[in-house]
Amino acid sequence: MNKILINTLSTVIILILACSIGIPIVLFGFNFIEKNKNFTEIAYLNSTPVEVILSPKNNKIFETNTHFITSDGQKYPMMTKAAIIMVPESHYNNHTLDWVIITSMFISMIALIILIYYFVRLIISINKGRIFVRENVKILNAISICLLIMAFLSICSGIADYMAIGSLNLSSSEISLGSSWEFPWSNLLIGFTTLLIAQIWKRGIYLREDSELTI
Amino acid sequence: MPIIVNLDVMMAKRKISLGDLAEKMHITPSNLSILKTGKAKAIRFSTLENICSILDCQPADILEYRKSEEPE
Repeated sequence: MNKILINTLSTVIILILACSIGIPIVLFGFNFIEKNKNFTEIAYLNSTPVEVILSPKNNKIFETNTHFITSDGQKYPMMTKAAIIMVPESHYNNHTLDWVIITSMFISMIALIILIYYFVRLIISINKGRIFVRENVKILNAISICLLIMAFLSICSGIADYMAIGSLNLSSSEISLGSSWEFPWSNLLIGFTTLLIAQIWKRGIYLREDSELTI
Repeated sequence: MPIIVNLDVMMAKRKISLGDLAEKMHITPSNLSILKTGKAKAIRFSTLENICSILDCQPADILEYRKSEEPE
């Protein structure tokens, strides 16, 4: 693998990681601004937005009277899968769980920044020709720990989210509400794979030392 | 380590320096020094053949096995 390919792939990975920090921050900022605008609809005032996934009960398909209308006038029936329910503050008592979710997100973001830092260090080390060195094994271990911490925090915030939605007791005969949280399969997979690669790298260091001391 | 490298003994007998031997073997003096000081983990047959050819000796003159003393 030549240097140009390594550097190009590394740049792409770093950009993706940086966007995964930057975009949520920007979206959070927009949401914050939107929430504090003067809404004319009374329903939005003093309400907490709760993001939910809608699932029809008893295998029913949603009856829908909403349509997606294209610019040329075509109408397509539309089923809603996700929604944001504006729950009045008086009915919303889960601020502790909110803090769990926010804290998890904050610590995840720090873990992601640390991950990017170590990833850049690994690329610099490889570019200098220092490939099978003990420092790189420590870096790989650090990267895997960051990923596993992010996965664990995601699971914690997912449990908190489910608990928060469940405690609202928003029942309906036709729709069941679920959390929009998804199990962090990719973080777990890549975290454990990186841990495995670190062990293989350690073996590589042993083989390199053996090779260097074979005359 | 139980395998002792007696390269320095053979070099003294043949009156050849480390640098000269390394040059004749086409390896760096630092690599030969690793072998001479017993820090090497392994030696290739080709290297051993090269040494024996240059120093006109047998592998047994270069390598010696000494059983490590077990603690009582």
